[in-house]
Amino acid sequence: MSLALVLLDEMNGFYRSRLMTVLWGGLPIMAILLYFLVPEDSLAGIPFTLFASLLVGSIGALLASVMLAVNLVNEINDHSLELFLVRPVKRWHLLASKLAAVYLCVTVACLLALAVGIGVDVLFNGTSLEAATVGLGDSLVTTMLMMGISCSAALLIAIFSPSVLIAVILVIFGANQLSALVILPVMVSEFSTAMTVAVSTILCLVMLALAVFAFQRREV
Amino acid sequence: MAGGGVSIRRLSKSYRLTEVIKDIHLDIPAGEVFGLIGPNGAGKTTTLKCIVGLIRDYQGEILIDGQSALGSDTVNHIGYMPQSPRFVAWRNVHRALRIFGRLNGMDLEILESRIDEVLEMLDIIDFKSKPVTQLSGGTLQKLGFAQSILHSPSILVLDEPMSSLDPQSRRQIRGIIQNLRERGTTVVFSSHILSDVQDIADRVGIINYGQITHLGKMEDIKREMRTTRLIDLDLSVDPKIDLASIPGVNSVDVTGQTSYRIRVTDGQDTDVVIDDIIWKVMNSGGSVRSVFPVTKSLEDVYMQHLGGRPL
Repeated sequence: MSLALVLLDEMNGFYRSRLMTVLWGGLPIMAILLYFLVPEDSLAGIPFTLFASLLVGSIGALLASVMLAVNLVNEINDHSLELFLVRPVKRWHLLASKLAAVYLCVTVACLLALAVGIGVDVLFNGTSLEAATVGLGDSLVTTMLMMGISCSAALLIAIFSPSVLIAVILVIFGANQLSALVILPVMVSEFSTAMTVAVSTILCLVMLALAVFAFQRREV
Repeated sequence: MAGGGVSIRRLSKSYRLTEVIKDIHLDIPAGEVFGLIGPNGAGKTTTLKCIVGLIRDYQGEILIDGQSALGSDTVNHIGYMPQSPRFVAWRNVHRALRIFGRLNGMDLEILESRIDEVLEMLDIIDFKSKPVTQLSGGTLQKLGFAQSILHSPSILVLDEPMSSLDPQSRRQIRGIIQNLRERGTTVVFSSHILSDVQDIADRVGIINYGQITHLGKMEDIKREMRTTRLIDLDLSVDPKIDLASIPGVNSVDVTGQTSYRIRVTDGQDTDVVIDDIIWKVMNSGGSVRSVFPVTKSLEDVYMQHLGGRPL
């Protein structure tokens, strides 16, 4: 019950703070701008959709992790979280709802951006729909995993960070790079998608478990 | 809701090498209004945070109605108002209260009418749809109080509930706390405003350097305030007699041309000494403009138990 309530509340917060609108409008616009700004020959034969999906995905992972860390550190530091913690809400529910709300929000923004990317590729490049979506599945999975890893790491960082600035620096140079570091070797050594998913999921779960454990003991 | 008691047993809390709470024992029976006073950094907020479970890593035990405060069963019976209540920026007053009421398990229909009731009680119903970012410090303080009483908790823990309120609002909050006491709610609060403590507390604990240095009923403290060994005497005609020779007078300080502060010897009845002073002055051809015992303020009692450490 409390998990559903706090998740809805977090989603409501994104909606009310207009962050959702900015994301859902901003990332698709970025996909359109990419089409006009990136010279066609620099893509070296990579379909525009795939290029856009990788770029939007990496931006999405960065945005999600920074948003999550800023949100949590702010609420801890200004003590607004206290009013939730003195109520019958499990601490892990609060973390899970923040993670889920950010993840969901940025995922929808990425999907919208990809849809726009595909549309642009088909309409302006004359690429067939089939060709435009080659490798899209794998690229989407990679994006989701990168977001998962960077968000889990961001939660862990936020719980220990004394200020928003430190959290953001650590997330950008730690969490976000970690997600790329984990994904890249798996891709290079031609591991299967299933293996990539397994390794990344385990990493996410370990970091989430650590974050929950630390948050249970964290004085707010 | 009828009140539950709070028992604190050997509570200690350290931050690295600094012990901020030292072995506190405290029993607050159900339905009592307990005031915790002390200087900045004395350990008031830490103690209250331990009670509501915001600080969990402490030594000792806190029991809420006989059950450990760290258990999940007690949390719904507690209302807590932090020192400076803060709310996430996107909320308005109504939304802020609604999520807290829902998390406390309140039915939506009952909650909506309760929100109106509480906002009216605090005279902030006009701010119901205002974003919390547009509220003044005093209104935010009231909103903080509103969320703490919304679910009618049996134990109310308030950290400096009246610190940024104007006198009228302070009176309002005092009135609400008195009503809650009549309904059996246990109230534990900290305050710097000694007059508020004097007005609403049944019992007072003075905390300093993490220890309760004095614990007493407000009636006893008021009696202590009335018990005085000092007399202020002002004469309209001064016969220039030796006041120190009057039985029961310990010492005399000259405070003006015809005014004196007289210290009564321990064990002597101050009223009897006043009678003797008046009789002696009149018999010596003088006349008294005023004479009255100097009563202590709560601040004097507080300072005395604090060992002179300023508030």
